[in-house]
Amino acid sequence: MGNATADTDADADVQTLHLPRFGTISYREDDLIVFPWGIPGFDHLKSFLVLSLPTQDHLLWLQSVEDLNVALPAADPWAFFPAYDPTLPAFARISLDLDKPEDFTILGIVVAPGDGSMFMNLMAPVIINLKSRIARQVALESSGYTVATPIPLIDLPAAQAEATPE
Amino acid sequence: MLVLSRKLNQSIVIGDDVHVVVVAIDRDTVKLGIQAPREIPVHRAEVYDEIRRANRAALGEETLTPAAAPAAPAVPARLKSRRQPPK
Repeated sequence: MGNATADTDADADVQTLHLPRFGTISYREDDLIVFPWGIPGFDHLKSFLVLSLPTQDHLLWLQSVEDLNVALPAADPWAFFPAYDPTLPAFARISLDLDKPEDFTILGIVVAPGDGSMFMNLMAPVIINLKSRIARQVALESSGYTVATPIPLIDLPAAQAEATPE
Repeated sequence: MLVLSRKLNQSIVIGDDVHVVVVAIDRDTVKLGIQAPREIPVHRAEVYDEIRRANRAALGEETLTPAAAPAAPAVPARLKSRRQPPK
């Protein structure tokens, strides 16, 4: 929804954060993603940014702007699981006002235990309405998907594999 | 916590819109029927716990972060849906 007025006010719009993990970053108000229901385990946190690092192609970071120590790694599930076929339950479609497929995106939260392995939560993806910037982590309870599905490391870019310590 | 005893086929109403009924009792298992508005999620409690634990684990060790100051800064990602709107 960009327009000439927004562009001229661009500088006034920009906020800066000094993050423990990523240093200083800049963002605009409309980069913010709101989780009205919080995120399980972080139920009090409602306001997040989705950050990407130029050096990490596949990985995104769900960074809380309210608790700067909270940043959850996430990625596009289809980058690793092309056959992923989540059926969104009614409460997700209704509470996020999902109308058309192009209105939203889906991310899977990633766990890296530290031994080089990585797992994605396919059972409870994060759904983000791209227009309203409202998001929710949605449990697909009877889907058969698990909260810790191993990510095939062979699909990771070489740089990513190098980044994990031995 | 409110504790109520119900027999088979008896029910409970939560708020105005959530109904819980005992559908079957079989030894140590109670089968419950839940009627709630479509916008209200209903889950087994252990599902929520699993998700909570997985999210906390995701926060865990910083094995994915680049060393010290990254050469190029993190930026808000360009989020896209999988489907493009029809032209």
